[in-house]
Amino acid sequence: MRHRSLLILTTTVTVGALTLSACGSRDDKGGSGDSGGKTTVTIGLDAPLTGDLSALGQGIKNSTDLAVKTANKNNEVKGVTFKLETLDDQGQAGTGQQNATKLVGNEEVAGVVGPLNSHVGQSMQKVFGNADLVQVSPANTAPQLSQGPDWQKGDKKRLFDTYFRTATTDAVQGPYAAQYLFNKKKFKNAYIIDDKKTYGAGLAGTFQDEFKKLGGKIVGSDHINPEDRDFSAVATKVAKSKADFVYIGSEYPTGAPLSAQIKKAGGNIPAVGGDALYSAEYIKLHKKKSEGDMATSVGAPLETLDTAKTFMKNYKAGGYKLPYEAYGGYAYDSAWAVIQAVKAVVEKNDGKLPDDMDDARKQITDAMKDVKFSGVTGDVAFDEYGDTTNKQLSVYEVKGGKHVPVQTGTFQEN
Amino acid sequence: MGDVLSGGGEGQRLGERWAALPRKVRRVTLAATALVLLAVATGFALTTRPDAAPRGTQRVPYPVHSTRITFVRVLDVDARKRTFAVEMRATTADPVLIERIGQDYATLDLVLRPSRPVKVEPGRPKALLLRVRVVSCLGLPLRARLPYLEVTLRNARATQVLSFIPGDHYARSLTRVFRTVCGPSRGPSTGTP
Amino acid sequence: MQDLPDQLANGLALGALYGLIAIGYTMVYGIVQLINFAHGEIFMIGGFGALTAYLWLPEGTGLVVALPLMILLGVVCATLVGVGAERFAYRPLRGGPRLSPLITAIGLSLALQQAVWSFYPDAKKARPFPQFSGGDFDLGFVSLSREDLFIFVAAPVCMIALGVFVAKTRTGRAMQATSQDPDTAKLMGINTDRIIVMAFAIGAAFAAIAAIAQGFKTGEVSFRMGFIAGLKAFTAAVLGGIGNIYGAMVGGLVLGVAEAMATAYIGDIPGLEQFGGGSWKDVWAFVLLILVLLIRPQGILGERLADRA
Repeated sequence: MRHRSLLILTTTVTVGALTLSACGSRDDKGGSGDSGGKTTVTIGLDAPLTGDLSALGQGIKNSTDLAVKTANKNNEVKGVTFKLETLDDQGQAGTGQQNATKLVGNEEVAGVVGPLNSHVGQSMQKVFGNADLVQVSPANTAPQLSQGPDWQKGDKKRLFDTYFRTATTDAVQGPYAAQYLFNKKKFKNAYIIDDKKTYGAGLAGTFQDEFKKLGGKIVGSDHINPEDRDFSAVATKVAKSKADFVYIGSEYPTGAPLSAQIKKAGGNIPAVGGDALYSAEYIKLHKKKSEGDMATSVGAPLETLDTAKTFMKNYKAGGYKLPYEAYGGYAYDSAWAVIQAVKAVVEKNDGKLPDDMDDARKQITDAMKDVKFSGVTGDVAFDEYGDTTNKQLSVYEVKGGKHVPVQTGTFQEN
Repeated sequence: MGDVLSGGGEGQRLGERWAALPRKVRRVTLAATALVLLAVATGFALTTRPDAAPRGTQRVPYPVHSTRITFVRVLDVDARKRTFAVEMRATTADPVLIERIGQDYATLDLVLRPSRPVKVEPGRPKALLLRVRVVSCLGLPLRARLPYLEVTLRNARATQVLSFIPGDHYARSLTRVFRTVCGPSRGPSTGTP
Repeated sequence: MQDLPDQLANGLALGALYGLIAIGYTMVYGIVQLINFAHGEIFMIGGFGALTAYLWLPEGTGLVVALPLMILLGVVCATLVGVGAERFAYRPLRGGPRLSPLITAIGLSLALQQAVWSFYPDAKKARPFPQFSGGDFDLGFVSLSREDLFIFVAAPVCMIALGVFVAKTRTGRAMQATSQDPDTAKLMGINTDRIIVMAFAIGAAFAAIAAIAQGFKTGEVSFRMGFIAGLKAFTAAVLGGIGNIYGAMVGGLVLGVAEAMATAYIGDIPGLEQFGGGSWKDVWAFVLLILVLLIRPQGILGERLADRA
């Protein structure tokens, strides 16, 4: 008898814990009826809403939500009400893939915004590709997602017609940082650290490649585990090296303590990284020690854009508790791109989406190629690989506890 | 402000920045802006149709969003003098002044020729000619993938120093010229191959 | 190799931290042969307790002033949770199948993590932990950061106190007796339930000290910090000989130094370049664990009954 009740207790605790861990991400489903003759079209959203990267993820979610609300308010697509289906991938590829399957299975989903992490994007691509469901990522920067695994050899090949993104790739970000540091800052010796993830390793790779070609010296390199928080041994190695700076190919939950511990170990050099270090959280975690650190991020600083100012105003008016962070504007534009693609299809089909959802999805994917509008982050349009045609990026430096833009670049290939 | 504006790490608002500038700078900038405005207004009044009212300055985007500079070709390679020229093409959506083009390589000397600011008008692309001299073959970035140019642009809204990254074609052309000028062996002082 | 003293200090600081957590595993195992896999989460709660104390104090309070209160509240929180876990999650299962407490421990660990995640303000991501101001102490051959100094003081103090407690006090001797033979101890009039609660409480208190040390070291506490730390500490306990309190500390120190050395120097060995660095340190640590267990299955110090407590 006793054993049985104990077993029940154990099970209850476990189940309770599992339920807790699963909750908090799903929006209620319902009310999808055609009220007032309107069709409801769902936009899927996948981002890490819990866990270390949740600051960026929540910013993406809120900004997408803002786009959906704006579209409904302005009646952007006649006869269509947009709805958001939010899923949490916790920054894990496996979860992302499950979410992708789930979104594909939901007959109402016409397009997806997300994810944040490149490795999650990699796992979702195929699921969407098979279902012709269009996906626009606001934050994936790994070049191979759109240009295929051999992009570095110049052999660019698009793998999935359904994959689009509004963020600039690391193919530009890493080398730009290298050029900036070598030429402008006159830094000649680099220490390079990455976390072995698709994003971190890829970014560090493109950076290292360009830095060496410019004549810079790599005085040391290391790999770390993204879950670790004690980096004292690596930090001592960096501090004892003759490096002028350390390049960190990782995300801010790992990058911030790493940078702080390097400084604690006596390495009085700036840490430099990509867009995943460009977060207010990076500074918040290690206030004093982040001064002078640099990060490149996609796009021109939002404050130089009038469209962005409207976005900031509306975001504030929307009453969102958490800031929009690095990718808010890109998430808004991604969602808007999906909305515009839906609009194009609706207009082509006499004011409504095709009844067959598979057909509708296919048409929306096709329409995405021609989407063009003036978005929060500048002009939004996609090239033949699904990459954004607006390839701008900026270098930010932490000054006075804030990321301050120091240089903006435009990539213009002809 | 608080929460929302601390996000994205965006810097101070323009107004705050402006207020933080020394009074002298503010005055000079105001005066300069006024002058530019006046010039632009007069320009409009004199050259364009009378119905083209000058647009409010707040509506003009920053140069970074309106101007594009792309690579056209490399010409006049002189291996003996270690000089060559680069032709670029500038297009813009709003009138813009290209004040300076340069770059930060220690081993290259690059200037705009002729060396006065170039005015670019919407709808009328301008060709830009850059004179480049290889100062030293040592430490030349022979195979750099993303060389960029540093460009100072000014329009009615602001003056910005920006990087223009002309892309793969430009990088490959530069590499070719470097090899011609400095020889494939990257010899330290060989002027000719 | 000129950074050897620094790397040794890194390894020892990390190892002392592992050791303090490992005490909790080893004491509980020594007395009830139970592996408390929720111990990592108790460690985490100690960290949040200390952070709460710091946040309660008025802004600008010096860390040196705040530290006693942080330790106090951290220890109190962790101990309450540890004792509560024993009372409500483990005691009802005592005498049941060996696997049941293990499953409960995993459930409890998830529940505690998610509880902090859900209810502690702003804990969905890492929360900054206060840091000492001021530079390192340069001892000539090695420079110690103020954060590391905390663990270098706290760990020996804790160990000596524990050693004295176990060897000299009545309760300590009752603990030894219980670990040697619980049934006989009970017959001799020892309240074994109380002794088991003691073991949980001491382990939790030590874990809280370790959590504060980790907070100082990494500058943050997060709801997930217990997982990796708990795993490493458990490894340290096994390495040193589970059930032996000195073994736990020795195991921790060996593990910490091994990790630091692997990060710093394996990559310098010709032919092993790609196996060095921060990402391979855990692999080398576990290679060491396997080697030690092959030669001495009972761990470095072994599970000598007399030392068991």
